[in-house]
Amino acid sequence: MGGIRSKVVIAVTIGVLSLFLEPEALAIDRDLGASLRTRVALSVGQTVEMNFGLIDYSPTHSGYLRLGTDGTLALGGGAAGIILDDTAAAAGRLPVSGDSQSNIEISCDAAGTLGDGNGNQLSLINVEHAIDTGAPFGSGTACAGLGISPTIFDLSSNPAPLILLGGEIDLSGNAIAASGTYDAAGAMGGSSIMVRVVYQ
Amino acid sequence: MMRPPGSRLAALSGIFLVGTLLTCFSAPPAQAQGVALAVNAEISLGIIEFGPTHNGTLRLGTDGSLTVAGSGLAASGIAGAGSITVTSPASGIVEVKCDPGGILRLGNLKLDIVDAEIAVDVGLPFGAGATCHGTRKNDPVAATVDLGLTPGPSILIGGRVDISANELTSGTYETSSSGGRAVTLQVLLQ
Repeated sequence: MGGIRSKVVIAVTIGVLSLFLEPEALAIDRDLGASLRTRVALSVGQTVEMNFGLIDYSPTHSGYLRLGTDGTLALGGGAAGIILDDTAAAAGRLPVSGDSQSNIEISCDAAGTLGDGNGNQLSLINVEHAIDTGAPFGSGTACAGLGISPTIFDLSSNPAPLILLGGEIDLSGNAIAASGTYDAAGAMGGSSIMVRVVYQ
Repeated sequence: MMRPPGSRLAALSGIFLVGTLLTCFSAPPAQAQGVALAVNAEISLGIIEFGPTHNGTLRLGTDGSLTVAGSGLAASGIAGAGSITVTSPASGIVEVKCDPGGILRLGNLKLDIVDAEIAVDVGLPFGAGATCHGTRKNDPVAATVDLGLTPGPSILIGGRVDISANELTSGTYETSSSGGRAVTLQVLLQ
């Protein structure tokens, strides 16, 4: 009788175990993870406009007035009839700051216009930019237009980079029609250089 | 000790009978297959850019669309609804329950996912899904799916995140971070 009891116990045990050994479940819970990435919006600090200083000109003049991203001013393109009269020139400066774990894309207009408010204009062309460290004209990165061939910058190396702008004014063909202050402001008949900075 | 042959047979029969009965009570019905799920995508609220002054609400639809309300907040990057596919059984009717929310953590900071909702196969903007009430026994079912009519359905999950004034910091808030809590989805075969 003891043998029978032990076998019954074994059978019962197998049966009970089978309660816990169901090959497939009829209900399943599954956890679904979630995530949200956040980053501080890009901000722009106090900007400084490009300043090409003061030049003297003769009625007959030509050449190019070149401003480096380091703020240096130079004449080029066989300049004649033009004299640099002061050293007040300065590169454009655009300080930005953002999330140190992100990259940014920098792009800018390649050209603009300076006007004197009296209908006279000068062409600002070959605009270029640099980041943090300026250089003489021609050494910067050419601006190709907003959103076009942007410069990628990693903010982990510097979360508050300074964008520097330079360019050249085309003075060929006696371009300066009258003495005055030529400005990119729309009210003066000019068009300014737009710079776009976005997260990559 | 020798046993009579009849008693040995009776003992084996008893063992067989008990085992069979217990197996019958413990195993699923013959026509039922187990439920199996596959996670296709976690819930992604994308990237939110914030200004120094901000507050608002993020609403993620089961169609993956993210709307941002409030001020000082902007969505960037790609958001996506959570997605789980019921890969088994091939037929039968299943009930779907889900947690009404979860917790996203970034260090000691936390954001609550609330008003979680689901849709089956076809996603919808936030607010148009079926409300999640919880996964406990007496919690109402969010959706019922006839697998014969909708084989291998995908359960899509969205929800809402409220952002209090200026509480965000840069980083990634995750349910998998310490103190976080995922949204649990439960599929029950009727």
